[in-house]
Amino acid sequence: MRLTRAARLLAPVCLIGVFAAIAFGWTLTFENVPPMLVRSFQPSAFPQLVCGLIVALSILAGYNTVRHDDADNLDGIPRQFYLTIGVLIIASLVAMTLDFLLAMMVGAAGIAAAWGERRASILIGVGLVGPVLTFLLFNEALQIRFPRGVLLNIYYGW
Amino acid sequence: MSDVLSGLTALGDPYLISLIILTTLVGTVIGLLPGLNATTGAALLLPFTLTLEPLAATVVLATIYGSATFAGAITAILINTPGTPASATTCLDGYPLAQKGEAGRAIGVATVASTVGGVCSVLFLLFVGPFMAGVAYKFGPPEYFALTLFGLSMLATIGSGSAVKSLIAGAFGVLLSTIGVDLLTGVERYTFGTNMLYDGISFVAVMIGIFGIAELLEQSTRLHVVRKIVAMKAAKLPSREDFARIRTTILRSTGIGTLVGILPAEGSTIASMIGYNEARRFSRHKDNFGKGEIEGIAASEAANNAAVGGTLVPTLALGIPGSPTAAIILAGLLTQGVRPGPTMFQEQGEFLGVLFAALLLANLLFLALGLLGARVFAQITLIPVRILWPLVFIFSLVGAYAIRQAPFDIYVALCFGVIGFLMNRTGFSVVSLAIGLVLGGMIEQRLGQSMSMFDGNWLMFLTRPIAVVFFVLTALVLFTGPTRRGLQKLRRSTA
Repeated sequence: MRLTRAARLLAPVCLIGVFAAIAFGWTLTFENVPPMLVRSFQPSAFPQLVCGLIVALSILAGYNTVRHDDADNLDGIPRQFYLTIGVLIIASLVAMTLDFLLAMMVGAAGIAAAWGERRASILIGVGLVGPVLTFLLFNEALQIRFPRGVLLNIYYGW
Repeated sequence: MSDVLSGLTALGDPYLISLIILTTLVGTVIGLLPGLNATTGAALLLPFTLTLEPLAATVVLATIYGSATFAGAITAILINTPGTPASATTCLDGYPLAQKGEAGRAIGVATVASTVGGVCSVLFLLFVGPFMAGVAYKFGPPEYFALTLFGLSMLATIGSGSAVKSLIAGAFGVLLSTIGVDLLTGVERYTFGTNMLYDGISFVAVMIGIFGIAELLEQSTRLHVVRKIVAMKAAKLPSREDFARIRTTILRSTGIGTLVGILPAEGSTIASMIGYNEARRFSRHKDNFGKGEIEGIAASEAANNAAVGGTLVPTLALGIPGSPTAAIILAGLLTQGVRPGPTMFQEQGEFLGVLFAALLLANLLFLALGLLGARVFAQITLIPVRILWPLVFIFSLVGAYAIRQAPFDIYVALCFGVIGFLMNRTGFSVVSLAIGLVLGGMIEQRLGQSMSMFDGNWLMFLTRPIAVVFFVLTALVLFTGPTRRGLQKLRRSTA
């Protein structure tokens, strides 16, 4: 049990250490510029320094975690959290494949529904009125153009 | 001073006045909503400033910062939930006093203390900013590098968790800043062959992710929390006896808040904690603290509002953000093509004059809002989370997209939302990440320039006295337990 807890507490710092090590390895693929063009150091040097620092700090953090038995706060994550993550993923997919405005609608209504909202008026308000008004505000008042999709093609014209 | 006077004249512009009033109201609402704070508010509203003139955009962001910090006190007192982290210590005495039926008195004390703290810190910024800028004229790349390094080392004192984890988060932010094409050599770094990363990762998208989306995920775990407002008749100004009791505390906390704000990376939250603790230490009514002592409310609120002006000193004079919100203001300035630094005080005096005048006006508006509107504003805190957070989600998506009009930034924001949530849950400070991301580019650039100057000889840094002073300070922060542990102990004791 103790080992499991230690492993769980160490997981984040190990993950970061591994991530930094991979990032360090990746810097080896960066192009080097000819010495006469290098004004100070090669473009890979600074990221390597930072990655090395993160790895060193991760080892120190790992030691501290075991020594002080640091507590994390990953217990008691309720179902709504996972539902919300699911909604975010679906909204991302909709934005990527169908339409940005539709993604906002799906995301906003999905979050409200995932958090227990069942009243149709509220779901329509946050899922339809909210995204449309926000879109109009940015599009018309701030002149920001959004990526075209199934709904925005109708608005912008084919 | 003449610039401020001309700034006050510029405030005669009805457009600017309306903008300040509107953003003070919006900032107040943001500060009232639990979960949303000045940083999230500034990040979400940054896209709105795109179409504004640089001056108006800066005024909007700075006003949001001040008003959101102020408004956190209202929820702290009336529902025992700090609207912003900087108001956490206000709960300690504000809520007990409200429970005794003196909510109006508590709000009045908080409002006056906030206003005094805010106005004094703006005046301080007005006088110290040019002085600091004058000193900064003596800075070359090595001194800026050492200063930025000192700023990053201060991340060790951020967050309630481990100092090492805060530094890791900061270093992660610095690493993120290296993504994109290296401007000096044209070499691609971590672009993975995609042109979406050529210009680097969007700072605003990351900020919206780690502050907005991460908080949305955090809220999804707290849906069971029920908020109830303590009954209140009306806010009232402190009586003569009350004022005599709190005036020294307000002045002390104002000084503490302003000075803490100046320190790179520190901000309103730690200022209010130190202010509160010092008030308790010096008070004749120590035993009343935590039971509804007005000195506690005044100390916390004067300090956190004073820190707002303080954080803007290094942000404007040196280009080093004094807090996460100041980092967003800095990003907003850079987006608008305004480059903060010592030259700003000489070349753009009128710009700063209007900014100072706007902050002074906003602080006076807090007084009116706090005293007249607290009861109405308090109702805003009861907006159901099932309505509020879907709307925050919409603004997060649009905000992340709008800055560069790149759909890729939406996914960046969502990914960093999850990363931010996990970081918060495992003790890694997202504030450190944000500041590391802002300072990363600067530190690499200044290190590169220094090494060019020194012909690659690191030891030449030792020939620069100002740089050596900052290196010593950095070492003190990182390696001397008392400095770091003292700040953390303080934070835990008030948590």
